[in-house]
Amino acid sequence: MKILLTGGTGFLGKHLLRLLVEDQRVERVDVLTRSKTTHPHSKVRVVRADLSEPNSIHALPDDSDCVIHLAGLYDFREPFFRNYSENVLGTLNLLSKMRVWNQTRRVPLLFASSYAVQFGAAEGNAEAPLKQMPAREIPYAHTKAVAERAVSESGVPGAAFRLGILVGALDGAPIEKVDGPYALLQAFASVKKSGLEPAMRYVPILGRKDVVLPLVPVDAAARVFHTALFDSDIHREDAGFSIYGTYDPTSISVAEFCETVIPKVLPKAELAYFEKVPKILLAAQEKLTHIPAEVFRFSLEQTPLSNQAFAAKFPACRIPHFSVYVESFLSGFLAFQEGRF
Amino acid sequence: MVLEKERKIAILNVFREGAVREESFRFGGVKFHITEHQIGWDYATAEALVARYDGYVDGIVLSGVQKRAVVGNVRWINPNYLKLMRAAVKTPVYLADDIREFFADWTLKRVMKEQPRIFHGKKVLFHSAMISPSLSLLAEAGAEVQGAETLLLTRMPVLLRGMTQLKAFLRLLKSTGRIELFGSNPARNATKQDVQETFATWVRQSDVVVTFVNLLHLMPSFEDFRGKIVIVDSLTPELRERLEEAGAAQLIEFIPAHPELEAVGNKQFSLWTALIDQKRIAEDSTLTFDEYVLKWIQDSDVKPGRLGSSRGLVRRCAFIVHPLSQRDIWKTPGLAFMESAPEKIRKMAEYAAARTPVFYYGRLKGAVSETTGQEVECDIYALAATPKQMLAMDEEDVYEKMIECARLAEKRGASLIGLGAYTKVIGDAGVTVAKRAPIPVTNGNSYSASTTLWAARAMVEKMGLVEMTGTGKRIKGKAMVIGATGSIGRVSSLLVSLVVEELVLVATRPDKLLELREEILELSPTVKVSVTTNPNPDLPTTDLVVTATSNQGGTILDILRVKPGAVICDCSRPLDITPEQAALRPDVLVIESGEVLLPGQLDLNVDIGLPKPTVYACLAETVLLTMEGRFESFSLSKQLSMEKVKEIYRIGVKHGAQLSAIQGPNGVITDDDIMRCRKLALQKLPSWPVQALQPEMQET
Repeated sequence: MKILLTGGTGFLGKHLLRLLVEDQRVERVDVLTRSKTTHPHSKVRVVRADLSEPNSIHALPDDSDCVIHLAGLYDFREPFFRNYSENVLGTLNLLSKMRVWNQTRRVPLLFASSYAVQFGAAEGNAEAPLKQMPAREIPYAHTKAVAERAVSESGVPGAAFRLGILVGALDGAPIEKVDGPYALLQAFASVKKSGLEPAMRYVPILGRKDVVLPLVPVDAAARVFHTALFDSDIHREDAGFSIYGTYDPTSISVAEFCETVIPKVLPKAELAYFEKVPKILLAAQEKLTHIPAEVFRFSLEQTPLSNQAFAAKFPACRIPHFSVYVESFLSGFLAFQEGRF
Repeated sequence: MVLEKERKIAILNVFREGAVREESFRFGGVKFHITEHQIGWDYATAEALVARYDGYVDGIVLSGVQKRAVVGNVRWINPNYLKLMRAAVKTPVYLADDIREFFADWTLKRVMKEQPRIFHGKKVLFHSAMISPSLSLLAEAGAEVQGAETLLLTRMPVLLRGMTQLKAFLRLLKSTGRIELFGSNPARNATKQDVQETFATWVRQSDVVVTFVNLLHLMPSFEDFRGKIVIVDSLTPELRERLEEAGAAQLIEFIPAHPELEAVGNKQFSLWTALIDQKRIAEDSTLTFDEYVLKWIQDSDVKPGRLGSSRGLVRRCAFIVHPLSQRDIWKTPGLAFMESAPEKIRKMAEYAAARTPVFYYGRLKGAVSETTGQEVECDIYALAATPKQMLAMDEEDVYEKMIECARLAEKRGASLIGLGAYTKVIGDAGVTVAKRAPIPVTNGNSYSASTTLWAARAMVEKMGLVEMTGTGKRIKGKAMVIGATGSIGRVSSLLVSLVVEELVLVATRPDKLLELREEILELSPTVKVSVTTNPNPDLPTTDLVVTATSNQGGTILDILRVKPGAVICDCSRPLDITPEQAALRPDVLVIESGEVLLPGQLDLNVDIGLPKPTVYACLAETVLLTMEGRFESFSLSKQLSMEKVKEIYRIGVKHGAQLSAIQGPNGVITDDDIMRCRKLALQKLPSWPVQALQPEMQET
C-alpha cells in the first residue's frame, strides 16, 4: 500500500511514521513536508510542498492508496490567520486533489481532528457531524472545526479522529514541546525555581473539578491511525465518512489530574479551584505565566465525550486511563526539562 | 482531448463565519469552481487570504466588504477595502458595490413606476444606510430615512433619523478612520440578542426595511416583518420563503431573475460580478467590464430585480364609501342600540357622525387579473355622513374630508383613490378633490355608465320578450334615451345605438337633439333614429328606456304608459324613477346600476351594501385602473367621454371583470324578481297598448 502522509514530521506524525515503515504491508510512504528533511528509510519519500499554498497539490504523487492528514497548527499563540492557513487552507487543497482521485478510484482519507471542535456546542454531537462551530476566539478549535466540516462534507470517503489532548508516549520518552497539561507543570516548576514556593500556600487552578481532560498518549493515537489504515471498512466501496472520538472518556478529571500531578512538583501546596474566571483575570495570568488564556477552555468547559463508535470499531486500540501511565507522563516531562539544560 | 479550463474563484465572506463552502457550476458556458471562506469580521485574515490566493485563482471575491459609504455629499472610502485591494497584484478582486448600485437603481425605479407613491412619507429603516445603494433614491422619493448603523457598529440603541444625522455619523466615522468603533465587530453585533431585539422594535415602527442578505441571515425571526416592504440585495429561496410566511407585504430584490443564475447557490452581487467578468475574460472580449455587462444584459434579456412575493408586486388603491341612510350608521358595532332611540336623538347622532373624521374602514384583497396576474389590494375609507347630511354640509367641508381620505390612502401606499356613492355627486364630482389630493382621483362614472348599459342589455335579454337579431348583437326593438343630449345621455345614446334597431332621443333642446342624431347615424347608420321633446307618445312601444336627466324631483315620464315587460334603466342621480313610481308597475323592470365581480379570489372584509364579493362599478373602476397601471384621474366631473367609457369597458374585459349584480329601486334584482315581472308582463301584453293609452286620454 502506498500512503501519503502529511504532518509526518510532527509530534504524532513521527510516531506514526515509525509504525508505518515497520509494517510489511506498506510499500511506500510519501511524507509531505515544508522543510528540507530527508529520511533514512528506503520506503519513505519526502515530498516538499506547503499544503496551504494552492499550487502545492501539483507536487502530490498521483498513485497513493490512502491519505493520512495529520498536518495542522496547534499553537495558541499564533494569530487566527496562521491557524486558518494551516488547518483550513491545507485541508481544502488536499481535498480538491482527493476529489479528483476519487472520481476514478477509491482513495480514503484519515483525518486528525480534535475533540476541541465541540467547544461551545450543544450536547449530543459527539462522533456526529458538527452543527455548531466553536467561537473564533479559540482559533485552533474554530479552524479545526471548519476543516473537519469541510472534510466530512467533501464526499471523500474515510474517517476523522477527534483526538483528545496528546501527551507523551507510554514509554516515557521525552516530550518535544510544552503545551496543554505540561504547561501547567512548567508554570509550577518555574514557581518552585523562583523560590516563591514557601509563600504559595494556595495554588490557583483555573478549571472545573469535574471536567474531564481526555489525555491521549501519542503512541496510542498513532496506533489508531495505523490500525484504521488497514481496516476493511475504510476501503469498502460503499463506506462513507465516519467520525470517531479518539480518547478515553473517563480519563481524567481536572481534580484527579491536579491532585496526582501537582504534589509531585509542589508537595505542600493546597489547590483552589476557580470555575468562573473573568476574562480580565485570564488575560492577567497570560501575562504572568505565558499560558494562553484559550488553553483554559479545556479545563473550564466540558464537551460531550461519549465514543461508543470508536470503542466498538477499534477495541484493540483502547486509549489507556491516565492512572496507567502517570509515571511515564511525568518522566517524559522531566526528561524534556533535563534535555533543555 | 482538450481539457476545459475550470475557473477558480475564492470568496472571502467577512460577514459570516465558521464554514467553508465549495461549489461547481456552469455560468454562461464557462465552468467555475468556487470556494467560499466564511471568516468573520477579520480583515487581517482576509488580507492574508487575498495575498495567499493572489496569482493562484482566477478571481477573488470580497463579500460583505463595502467600497465606500455615502450619505449625500459625505463620502468615505473604506480603508479596509483599500488594504484588501492592495494585497492582490495578479488576480482581480471583485466587490458587489458597482453592479449592485446599478441594479438597485434599476429595480427601485421600476417599482416607483408601478407604484409611484410607494415610498412617499414612508418610514424606511435601513439596516445600514451609509452603505445602502438605495439611500439617496429613497430619500429623494420622499421617504423618511432611518439608519441602524449605530446599533450595528456600537450596539448602542440610537436610531439615526434623517440625512443630517446620518451625515454627522459618517463624518464621525471618517474622523476616526475606522469602521469598528470601540473595537466592536458589526458582524458579531448583528448576532447579539439585544441588537436583534432593538432592530425588531424599529422594524415594527417602520413601513419599509432595507437590508442585506448577509444581515438577514443572522436574524432569528422575521415575525416583525409582517406587512412591511422588504428591500434586499438578494435572497436565498429559504429566506424568501420565511419572509413570505411571516407575511411581508412586498419583497423587492435587486438581483435579477436569470436562468443561468438559478444554478448558482450563492446569489450575491460580488460573486455575480466575478462571474460576468470571468466570462468576459474567457471569451477574450475586447469590451470593458461595464460595456460587457450592458451587452450581457441586452443579449440575455435580463430584467431588473425580482419583485413582490411569488405572485408579483401587489398594487394598492383606495376607495371612499359612506352610509347611504341612518340605518347604515347604526350597523357600526356598538351603535345598534340607536336604532330604537327617539327620532330627535337619532338625528343629532347623524349630524354628529357626519362631522367626525374619516377613518379606515376595511379592504378588498385578492383581486388578480386573469391576463396579467397583477394583484390589487383596495383599502376602503369611510366618511360617516349620510347623503342628506352631505348635501346639507358645506361643499368645502366634504371636499376636505375626501382629501383627508386621499392623504391617509397615500400613506398606506395607494396610488389611486376612487369616490363612492354620493361623494362623487357633491359639488364638481371630484375635480376639486383631484386638484388638491396627493394621489390621482377617479369618480368611477365611466365604468358605472358602461356597466349600467351592459346591465340594461343583459336585462332585456333575460326578460326574453324581445327578439334578438340573427347575429345576436342587436335587440329587435325600440329604445329611448331621455335626457339624451346631456353628458351621460349622449354616451348612453351612442352606446345603445350599437345594440338596438330603433332609437328615440328625448331632450328639451331640439337643436342639440338633431346634432346628436347625426352623430349617432354616423356611428350606427342602420339604426332608425328619431328625436322628440316628449317621451310619452313613444313609451307604449319602447322596450328599453334609459333616463339620464338632471331632473330635480319632477316626473319625467308617465310610468303608466311604459310597455309591459320593458326595462327602464335609470342612470340619473338623484334617480328619475322613485321607488313609489316603480311600485306602480310591477310588470316593468327598473334598474339603477350594474355591479361588478372582479377577477381573483376576492376577500372583502367589510359590508359595502352589496352581496359579497360584488363591488360597485365605481370601485371596480378604481381597482381595474390600478390593475392596468393607469394611475391617473380617469373619470372626473359629471361629464362622460365615450372614449373613456369604451376604454374602461375594454380594460374590464381584459382583466376578467364580470357583471354580477343588477340593482333596482329595492336593492339587487334576483332571477325571481325577473321571472315575476316577466309573468305579469306576459299577462298584460295581449291587451296592450289600448289599456295603456287610456289615462292620457282621460287627462286631456
